[in-house]
Amino acid sequence: MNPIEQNALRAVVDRIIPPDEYAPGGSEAGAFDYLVTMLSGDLAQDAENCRAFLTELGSEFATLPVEAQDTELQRLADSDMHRAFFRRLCEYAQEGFYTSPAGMKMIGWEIKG
Amino acid sequence: MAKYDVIIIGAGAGGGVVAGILAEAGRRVLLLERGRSESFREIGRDHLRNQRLSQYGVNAGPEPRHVRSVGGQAIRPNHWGYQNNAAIVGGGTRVYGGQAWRFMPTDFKMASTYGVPDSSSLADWPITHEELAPFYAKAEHELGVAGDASAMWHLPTYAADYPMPPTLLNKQGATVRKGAAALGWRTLPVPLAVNTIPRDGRPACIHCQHCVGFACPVDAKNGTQNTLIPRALMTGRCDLLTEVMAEKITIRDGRATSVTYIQLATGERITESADIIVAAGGAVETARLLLLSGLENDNIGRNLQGHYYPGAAGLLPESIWDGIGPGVTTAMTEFNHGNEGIIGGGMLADDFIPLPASFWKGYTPSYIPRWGQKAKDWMRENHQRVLKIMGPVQDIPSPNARVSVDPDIRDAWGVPVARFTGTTHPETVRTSAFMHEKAKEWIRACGATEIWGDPPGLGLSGGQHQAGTCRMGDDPRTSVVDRDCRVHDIENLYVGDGSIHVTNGGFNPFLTIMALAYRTAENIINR
Ligand SMILES: Cc1cc2nc3c(=O)[nH]c(=O)nc-3n(C[C@H](O)[C@H](O)[C@H](O)COP(=O)(O)OP(=O)(O)OC[C@H]3O[C@@H](n4cnc5c(N)ncnc54)[C@H](O)[C@@H]3O)c2cc1C
Ligand code: SF4
Repeated sequence: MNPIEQNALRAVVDRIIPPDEYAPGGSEAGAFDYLVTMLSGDLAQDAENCRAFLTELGSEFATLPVEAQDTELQRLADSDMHRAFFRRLCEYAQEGFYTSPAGMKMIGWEIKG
Repeated sequence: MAKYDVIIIGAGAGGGVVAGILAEAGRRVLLLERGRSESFREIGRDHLRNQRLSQYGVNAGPEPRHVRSVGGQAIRPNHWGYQNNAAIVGGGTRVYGGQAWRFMPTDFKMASTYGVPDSSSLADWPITHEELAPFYAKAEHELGVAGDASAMWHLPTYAADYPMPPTLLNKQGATVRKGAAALGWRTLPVPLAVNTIPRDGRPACIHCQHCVGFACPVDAKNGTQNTLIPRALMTGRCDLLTEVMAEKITIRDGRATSVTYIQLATGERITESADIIVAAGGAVETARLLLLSGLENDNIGRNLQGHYYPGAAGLLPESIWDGIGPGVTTAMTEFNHGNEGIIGGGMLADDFIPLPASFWKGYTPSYIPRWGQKAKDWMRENHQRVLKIMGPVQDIPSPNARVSVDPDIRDAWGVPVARFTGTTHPETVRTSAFMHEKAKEWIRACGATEIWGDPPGLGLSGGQHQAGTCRMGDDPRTSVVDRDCRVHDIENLYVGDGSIHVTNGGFNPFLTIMALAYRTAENIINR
């Protein structure tokens, strides 16, 4: 992934799990790093789909206002071409978030023992 | 003279018990296990690679080279359709939830109670609950089960109470007890193979949140790996070999003479002989092994059963979360039998604490968005208010739910793999839909404002509760082992795992597997 793609993916992860007053967004929580690792490991079979998806979002995606980012993501979520991958991408990002300390803390899940 | 009296294939629930009892009775035992002996740390706590959520891998085996097949495709242990349990010293009991249920008397008499539906192989067991009761007690006391015998109203009276009191009642448990009371349903503490008090030099449960699917951080969860197998080894008469896979049992003139096993690291084949051979590799692998050994009984591999596990989830007005593990505390057995127009039924209970990632995947309603602020808000606001109730239903057997040996696909060592075909009987789906409604009713009675979840459709059932592929019976034309759990017409070959279950009850199966293994060990001693 080149830096533009990385920025776009980071922005996508932060729209899947937006930062708010209760918990950090997906990328700060570790879901972006998780995705990068997985896309060259267990999820390598989706790396090409991811690249196509980011290409479709365009090089300016990360600089758009969040409302425009959401609109753009919704457009891809509704498109025949990207619907299935985006659905998977959401699950991957959520996996990264809910296995991160920040994600677990947000729902009050403390590891005991 | 052979080096061993007995060779046991598989160091799981059943095999571990047989090994412990026979070694203590003076037999020289060889215990073969294809998995490894793994510590708490080695098993780890990866939330996405474990025996509960296997999306990217498993934490208690088997390793990926042990493929199986469905529809002509080789599939790996973490894939859907593999029907995995575990492959490790202790087998499933190394990482299980430890729900330690006795089957009910009627569970042994399904055909005579309900009749046999078209195209089902539903049958009675050749033995009764009463015959098994003393062995259930042995398993409960020797392994260590916590429960309250006086609360088990659905069973004949126990000869002695459980050796330990039930686990701590958490907020979730108190909630479901209230809900059941409002419906007039009796509840009972789920019997668990967990130390609720220090016992046998091991501590009591510290109520962590990683019980099912993981090893215990303080070794308070009781499986064969910390009870019967160490007992076997302590005698000095049991050799436990790990990372070896039995490939074939040689049978000559109605006798099993030897076992050939593969050193998985090197591929080397070794043959060892013994007077008695016990296959205890779990319902899938035992069927595969007997077929690879050339046994011709057509029943081998048929009637594969696991459990449909219907349930539902609901949103309660207030938090029911206190993080006190294991999580499951309370069961309801009002609908195991006697349901108008339904064959069998099942037990329902509250759930083990789900890991956050598992919760996101399996406990959220389908109508919430999967991304964005709303998804995140939903999790933050509702995670602690979700109640899930579920339970195993009596699987109605079909002869077409089948394990056979794949004619083309081989594992990494060149051995033909287990292949799955068929589905459970459609009556299982009906029973499951019935219990799904009961789960919803219970959740509603707990005060839920929204309830979600669908009952499962028709499919093959096996997995962690796999059973049935070498069923017990008096007639060799309809069964694989006799009432002593000895393979018909083979004088010295026994089956000591879940394969011998004729039906799988409306309860989690391991205690029944162990009770039968105790009984089989005794049968072998008394030969
Ligand atoms: C996460 C999880 C939770 C569970 N929770 C519960 C529960 O709460 N209550 C309950 O009753 N049950 C539970 N179970 C199921 C329970 O563990 C099984 O029912 C039980 O372990 C089956 O016993 P078995 O003797 O038939 O086989 P296993 O315990 O599976 O043992 C078979 C062993 O044989 C080995 N083997 C197989 N083939 C070969 C070969 N050819 N050569 C050498 N070794 C071989 C396998 O590697 C395995 O270790 C759970 C299982 C899992 C994984
Ligand atoms: S809840 Fe945790 S501490 Fe208690 S028995 Fe289970 S794994 Fe061990």
